[in-house]
Amino acid sequence: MEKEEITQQKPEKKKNFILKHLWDFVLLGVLLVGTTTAYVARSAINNKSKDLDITATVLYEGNVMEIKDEHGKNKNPFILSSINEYQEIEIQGRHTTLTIGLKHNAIAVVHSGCPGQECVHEGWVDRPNHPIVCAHNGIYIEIESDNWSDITIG
Amino acid sequence: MIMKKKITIKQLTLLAMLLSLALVLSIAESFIPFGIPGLKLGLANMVILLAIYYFGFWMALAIDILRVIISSIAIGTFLAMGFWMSLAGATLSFFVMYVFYRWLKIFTPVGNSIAGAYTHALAQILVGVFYLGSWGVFYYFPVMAIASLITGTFNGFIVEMILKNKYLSTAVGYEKTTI
Amino acid sequence: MKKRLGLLLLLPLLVSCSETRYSGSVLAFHSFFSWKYVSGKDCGKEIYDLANKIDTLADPYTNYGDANTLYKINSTHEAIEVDPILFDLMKTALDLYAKTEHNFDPYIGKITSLWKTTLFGADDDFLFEGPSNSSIEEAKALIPALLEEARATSVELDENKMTIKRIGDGHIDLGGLTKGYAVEEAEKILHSNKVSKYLVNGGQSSLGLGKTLDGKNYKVDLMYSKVEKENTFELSEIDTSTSGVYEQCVTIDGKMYSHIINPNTGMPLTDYSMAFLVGEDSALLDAFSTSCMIAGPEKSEEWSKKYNFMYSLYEDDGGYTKFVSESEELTKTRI
Repeated sequence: MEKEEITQQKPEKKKNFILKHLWDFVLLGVLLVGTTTAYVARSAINNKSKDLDITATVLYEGNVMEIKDEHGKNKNPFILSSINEYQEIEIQGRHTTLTIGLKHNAIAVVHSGCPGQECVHEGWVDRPNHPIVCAHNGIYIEIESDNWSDITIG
Repeated sequence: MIMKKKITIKQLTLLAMLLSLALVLSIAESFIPFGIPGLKLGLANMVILLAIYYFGFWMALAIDILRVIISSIAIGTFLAMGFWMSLAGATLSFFVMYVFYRWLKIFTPVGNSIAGAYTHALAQILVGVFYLGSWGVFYYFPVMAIASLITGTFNGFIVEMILKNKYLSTAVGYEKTTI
Repeated sequence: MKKRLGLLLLLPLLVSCSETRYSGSVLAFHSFFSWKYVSGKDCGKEIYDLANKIDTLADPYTNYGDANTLYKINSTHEAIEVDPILFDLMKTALDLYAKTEHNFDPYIGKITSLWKTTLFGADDDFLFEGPSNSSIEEAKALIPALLEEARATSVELDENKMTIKRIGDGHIDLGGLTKGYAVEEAEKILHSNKVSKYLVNGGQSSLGLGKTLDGKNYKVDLMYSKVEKENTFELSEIDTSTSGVYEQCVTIDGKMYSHIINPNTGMPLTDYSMAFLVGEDSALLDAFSTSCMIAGPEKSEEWSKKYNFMYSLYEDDGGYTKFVSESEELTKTRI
């Protein structure tokens, strides 16, 4: 008989605890959610670069590379904001070939035959003034926005 | 408002002990860095909240301000940016905690402590913004706020446990001094 | 909505149409040196030639035949007559060698070269597989002798004859200064042509910021932070210099060996992983950015007050940067 009473008391005690502190937890939740949303919103506002026209220029040994499309026109520089479908382009560097991936407002070196693979490790770049370099192959991909004020270093 | 009750020697001793406790916590937490010198967690709020429950407005406020001044002299940040951050944090959180205690009775000491800790962090950052002259100081707020919320919750539970403890309460004469 | 935004974006173009935008780049200092500016006059050729000149003159590894470059100075003990630019660069290097309390050391050329080959392979070695414990031990064994040699090396400058004479057998390497120096000289060219809106980019690690197109500030973002977009500073009309291990590093047994050599120990290991400096003199910042990484936060604070720059120091946290400390004034510029 005693055991039943005790086990009945335990879930009640837990319920009482939560009920008693209900408003405290509500306050905690509101403050946590409020702080994180304000923080996320502020970061999003600062991320203006996604709204700008971003252009990527592929340079080979300092010169703009000729990358021809079906009509024989040079696709390079690429206006990344006008690309809607994912595309891949193969180019020939100094020693190996490279595969460049293009998607909306972003560019990446998807594959490269170079030994260091630093260019591949850069991944998708969607911010201006954040170049992708494959020194081994003499390839330099310059990414610019209309307003050149966003710079990434590190 | 002047205290209606006389303070017994027991209570005076307890006040002094609380002040010392608050001082120890203030000095100990100054070793935890948060990027800008002067940003603190607010562990001493636990003691101040307890003082509010035990002794009411004026005595608790006195402990709060005394601990800010004495701890900053001890650490060596008296009248520097860290001192003003502590002072602003301590006073603002004190008023918030008192308001919660006196009028917002749906909150338990846990809620009071959470509100106090959050305001403590906010006040410090605002002083930093004013002192350094840039809103960029808010960069440190998210981490500060979440850390304060965690310690605030923890502090609140401790205060609640102490208040419920019959032996401690009768030693202080808590039932009699409650407003 | 997008169309209207697009039209709005055209407005600044219409306003700034009266001035032409110029940009240029050159492969120098083992990276891309580029510049952009708005001006009525094209001074790009001047900057291009200057960058190439500094690159050639200060290159300790390439033999340019009879030309009086650093390579020649490192291969002889005679007084060599040099171009005023190289002379000035050498003078600046000596001045900074003193100011950084020898944390920037132009005499450790052989040590830098040894670690470069050991950790990252020679320039023309495409089959390099990376360093091994034994190759690192071999390199370590050579360090004490090389350090002694470097300590015994110095240069004699003659202002009247424009000569530099190497004393001792160590090699002079000004690599930790050339990008900053080049950015500073490029900025001088732009200023003398009355250009105020510009950006000189010395391989990302040295930046010369002028005004932006739209009058707002540049947003400089430091990568390699675990928290994305949390290391952004708003700056304008000032220079920056960044030193980091992450550009080129190898991790062996949990330790990060990078291209940054600590001149006090001769080893490519540093306690701090990245330093970001902001100030007026690009060359000074370049030398101090590695020095701050080697010397640590207390020294960085002391130097920043003495030589009037701002710093932000980081240590490694599993391949990403973890904030250590920074100047109060620099915190103000954070976004």
